[in-house]
Amino acid sequence: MNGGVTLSEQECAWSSLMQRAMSGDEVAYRHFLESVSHSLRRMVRRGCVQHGLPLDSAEDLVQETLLSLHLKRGSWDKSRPIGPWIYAIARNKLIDVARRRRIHAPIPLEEIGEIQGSEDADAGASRLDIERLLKRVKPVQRQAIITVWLEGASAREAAGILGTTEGAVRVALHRGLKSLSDLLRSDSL
Amino acid sequence: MKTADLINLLAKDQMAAQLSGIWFRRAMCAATASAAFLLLCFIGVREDIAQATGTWKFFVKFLVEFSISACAVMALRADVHPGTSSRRWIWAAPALIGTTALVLNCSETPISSWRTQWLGHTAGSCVGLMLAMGLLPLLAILLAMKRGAPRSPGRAGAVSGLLASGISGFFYAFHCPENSYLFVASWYGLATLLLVAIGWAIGRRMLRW
Repeated sequence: MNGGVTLSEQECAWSSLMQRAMSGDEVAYRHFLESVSHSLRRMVRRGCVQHGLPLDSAEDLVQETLLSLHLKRGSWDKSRPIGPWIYAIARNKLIDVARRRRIHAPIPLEEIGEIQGSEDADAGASRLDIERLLKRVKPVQRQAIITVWLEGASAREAAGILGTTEGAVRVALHRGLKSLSDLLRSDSL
Repeated sequence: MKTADLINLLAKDQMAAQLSGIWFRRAMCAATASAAFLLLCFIGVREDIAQATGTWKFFVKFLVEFSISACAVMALRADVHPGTSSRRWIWAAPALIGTTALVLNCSETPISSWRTQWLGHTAGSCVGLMLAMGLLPLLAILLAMKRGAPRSPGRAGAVSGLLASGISGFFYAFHCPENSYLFVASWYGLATLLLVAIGWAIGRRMLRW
């Protein structure tokens, strides 16, 4: 196969969770995203240091990468290891942000020292407020996102609250997430 | 926004997982409808259909084409949906049915008649009409596959072509006046190969991501 590269247990677990997620298993998908977000956080913080990005933008990057993974999950090739696929998307996001910011100033060493310690300290409140970007998403899509996210409703419950069909909520939610991702890409952090 | 909230939100969006399935079903409906429409409105069923229904040779064509289509559908599904096994052994079904029909056909007819059976009377129109009936189904299936990000674009295109040939062959068999499996194996076979090649050529460009 690809000589020397062995699949870590972690990647096998991700791979099987993702396969279940692709057949519609919501719980497996949540586990997958949670597990991936921890690894992403470590990776992104290291990357922020390397690219001279402030550490407080790390959580934004984690979220952007998760959103991107979500929207691209149809493109994951199940016959290949999942890790490289995830890391490639994360790396692209990181380079993207670094380029947008055009900051190349190295970060003081003291801050690098803190990375290990502060790892999951505030397991992720991002500075970037998606709420702010939400205002620019189409009203129907925004309502679907807000109802499902803030009120924790299922698609069916949201349909009841919004007075529409379950299918319409699913479509609006998916399209809303897609436009959020597009907005994130165009909107500098 | 907290990352945990975002994860909850993403987990509730099941569209990405379901999308390709919905489109594949729609494409299958469109493919079958277009082939049936061409048969009924332009090509027409064979005139001796009443007598033909009394012979096994009439029915086995449908069996072969249907089993090819079913195998192709399962192969495409497995290609698009991670987690489903591809079960290659199912391809034995169409191969076995087809070979049995061919052997049976040859064993009950004299060798001297094989050449005329093979050429038949409608070889040209058989290949042309099967191709014509298969192009719209092929396009519909490829469009649905495009939403699913298959593993290997060329192979997915070729299997899409095979599925299109199964659908077009199934409906063409209502029209086809030929009763020999020497004819079916050659000319249905040629049309199938052509559709597979077209599917492969389009698929390797169109299904790339």
